[in-house]
Amino acid sequence: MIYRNRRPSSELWAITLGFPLVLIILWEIAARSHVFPSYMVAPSIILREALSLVTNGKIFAQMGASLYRAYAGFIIGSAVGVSLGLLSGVSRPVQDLFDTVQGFVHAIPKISLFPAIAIWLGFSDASRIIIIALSCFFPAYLNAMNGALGINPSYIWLSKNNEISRLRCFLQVIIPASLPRVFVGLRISLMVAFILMVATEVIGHSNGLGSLAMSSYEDGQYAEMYATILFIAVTGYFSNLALQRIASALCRGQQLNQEEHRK
Amino acid sequence: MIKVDAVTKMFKRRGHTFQALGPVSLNIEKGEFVTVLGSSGCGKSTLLHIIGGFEVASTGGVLLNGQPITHPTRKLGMVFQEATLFPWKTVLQNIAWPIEQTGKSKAQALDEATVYLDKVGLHRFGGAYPNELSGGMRQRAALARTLAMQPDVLLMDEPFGALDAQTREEMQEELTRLWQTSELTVIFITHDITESIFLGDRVVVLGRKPGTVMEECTIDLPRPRDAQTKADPKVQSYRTHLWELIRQSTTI
Repeated sequence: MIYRNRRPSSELWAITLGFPLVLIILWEIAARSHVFPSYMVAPSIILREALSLVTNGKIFAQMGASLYRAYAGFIIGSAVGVSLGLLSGVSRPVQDLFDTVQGFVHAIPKISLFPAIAIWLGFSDASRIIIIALSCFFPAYLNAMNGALGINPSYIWLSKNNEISRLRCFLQVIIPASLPRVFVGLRISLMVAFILMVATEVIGHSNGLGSLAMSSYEDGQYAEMYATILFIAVTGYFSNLALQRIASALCRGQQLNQEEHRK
Repeated sequence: MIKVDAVTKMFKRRGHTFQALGPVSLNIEKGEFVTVLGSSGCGKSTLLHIIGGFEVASTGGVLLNGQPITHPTRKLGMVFQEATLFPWKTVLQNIAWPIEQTGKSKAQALDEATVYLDKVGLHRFGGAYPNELSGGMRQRAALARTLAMQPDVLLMDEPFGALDAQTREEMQEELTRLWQTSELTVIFITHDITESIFLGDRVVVLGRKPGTVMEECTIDLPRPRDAQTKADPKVQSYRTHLWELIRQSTTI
């Protein structure tokens, strides 16, 4: 069964929505009590600020710039990662070819390469996208490889029994069988893309949500800063939701595993 | 039709070579249902894999209609221990898959697949995904998928081993019914003595270490067989005899 021990959501919404609501109310009360310093901004003020950022349109240009970097990096990095990962999973020579390089580069926090790339490309969109892509590569690569390595060996025998070519077996059997694990990698990559989107925007002269949050901080505009963080969270949330929708549509009939191999 | 000629299989373990199988020689006639009975570890699966071309014999060889078998072929359709259906395809799509591999269009393959779906009594479940089916239904679907390859020979590797007792009996009767109305040759691996008697025209008993043929026991039970056959007093005497052989093989 795909959905294990799931009570209908109608019974659970009170708990899932109630808990964060209680936290927000406590935060609101704490902020209004004036016991805490003024930079503890009340949720109601943050929300009002967020609304004004939407109505004056200021946020959309920033959001667009950020999402462009995050998605471009995510798509490039994970596309390369998934492709090479699946190939490494079916071919030992390919796996060996990347093994040392992969193990070494994986150990480097990719953000530390930012200055090195900036020497060539400056603190530009291109260098930001490269850093994001590089970071997205690894979870995508490792999970796709393990997905292909871990498929039921009987599937391969079944393919041989049907006398199909290795390419056909790869396309029709190995790729769909690896998909649930591929999506585990993609979910991590997407999360990593958002982290590095913010991290790279804070460094150097930039626009985007990360940069806006940082400049609001520097200007002491804490409500705007929190509102920007809220927008980062919302875009991340909906991006992840979209990816999950795609995953469940493409992996129909298969169990989407929750195990995660992070880095 | 199939000639197994002095097949052996050696494995290397920690520098030592040990013989897991053989030499085994067997002749299987067209349309025959042969069960291979042996306790676990006797190399019966290895023998089946060699016949199917999935593993290579260390010495000796297997001939199919006079031609040596060097690799898996559609003429020898394998039914695995677990159903190994593709979970991302519906039951009907799974059955259509081998047909598609012959170059037919998807639509035509799906159309032809319904014939095999009906044969195994799953006509109501063509649109279901494998994880929505019971173990018995999954194994039926897997059988239909192998039949869709239109093989001359069915190689069955303890296909009912993982099923509960009642389902297993139903499947045995179903398989007998299917085979009796076909021209298939079947080689069926099992460790279940009653199963080997009920299904087989002939029971090949494999001993252990290395697996060799202890006896070929012709089962003289009338065809067509059905659920009543299991109550035949002859079944009991065959069982006593085969059980004695298996006991001998495990105490050596």
